[in-house]
Amino acid sequence: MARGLVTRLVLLLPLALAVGCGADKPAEEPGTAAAAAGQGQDGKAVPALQRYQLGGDFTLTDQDGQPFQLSQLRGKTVLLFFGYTLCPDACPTTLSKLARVYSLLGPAAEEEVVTVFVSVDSGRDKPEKMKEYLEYFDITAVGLSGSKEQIDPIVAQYGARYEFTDSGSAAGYLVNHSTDLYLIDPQGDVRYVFKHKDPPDVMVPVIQQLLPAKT
Amino acid sequence: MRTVPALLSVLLATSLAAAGYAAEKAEKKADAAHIVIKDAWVLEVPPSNEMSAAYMKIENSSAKASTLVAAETDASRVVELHKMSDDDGMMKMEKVNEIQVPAKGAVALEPGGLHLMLIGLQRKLKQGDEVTFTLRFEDGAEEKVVAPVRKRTGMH
Repeated sequence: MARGLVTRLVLLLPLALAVGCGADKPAEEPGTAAAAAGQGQDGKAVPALQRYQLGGDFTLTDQDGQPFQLSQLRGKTVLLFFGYTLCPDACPTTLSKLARVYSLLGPAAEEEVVTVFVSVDSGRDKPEKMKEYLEYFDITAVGLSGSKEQIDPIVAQYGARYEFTDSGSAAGYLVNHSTDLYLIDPQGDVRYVFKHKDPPDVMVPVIQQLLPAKT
Repeated sequence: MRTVPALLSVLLATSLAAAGYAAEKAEKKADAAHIVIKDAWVLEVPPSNEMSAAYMKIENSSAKASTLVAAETDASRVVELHKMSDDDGMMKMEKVNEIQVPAKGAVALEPGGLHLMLIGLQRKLKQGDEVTFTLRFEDGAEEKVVAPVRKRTGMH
């Protein structure tokens, strides 16, 4: 447990520094697709893409029961977040918000941007559940699930958190989980971490920096 | 003309009797009469989900605080009182035993905060359906609420 905690702190520290208030921009690597963010269309400053010491490839099971490796999405822009299907609040909010983000990004986003929803509820969320859930939200998404042994290292990799709690509810255990949403570029690197409170019009200009130039 | 006062006396006597009879019932009703529920709604969830949430505003016009201790509906096996909180970026949900409604005040059950948790849905909930709840307060008062089922929007 202590080792896990240390790992999480080590992973979270650069994240905390990077996300901060956006004022400190880490040095851009030469040839990075995203230029330092300038002014958005409405004159507001657009947050710059970042580099993080978290993220990376992993394999879980998709909603069709097939093994799925994140690197299968290389070449696409990915929006990844953790949650569970019984989540009544945060996860539906995120998915509804993403539906709005897609409509603001335009029709090309359907092909270019893939949503990945990773369930941390290894006890209850199986592929069929993930499939039904995503069909309800009518969003182009990959729903991933797996065993606790598979999920935990991935959660740690991304600097996320979750816990099962037993508060005496008839629902059985409840699941607490972090609500960060990770923007992953076509090379597989995390380039921005959106917060639960970030509305679509904050997210869209950041995501657009990773998409092929549009008119 | 003299029959008018006589008539009035009869009316008065009858009213007093009726009032006495109704007094006991009125006391219980008075507690409930202090509670007004507004803007109640139930969240539409994916058909395979067995849990949902209900939100509403509870107003208390009494000079005494009121405490919501339980709720029930035929739409689910169990209703619990729950609260959500954001613990440094981690969304937490937990069961609570009661929800206080301040004297001459109100409490809002809304996404991201307090809500009724419907556990073990007995039927699919679709936008446009209605769900009837009975809310029970610590002083014995009961309130019936009819809440429409609505989809959740992403903005809050």
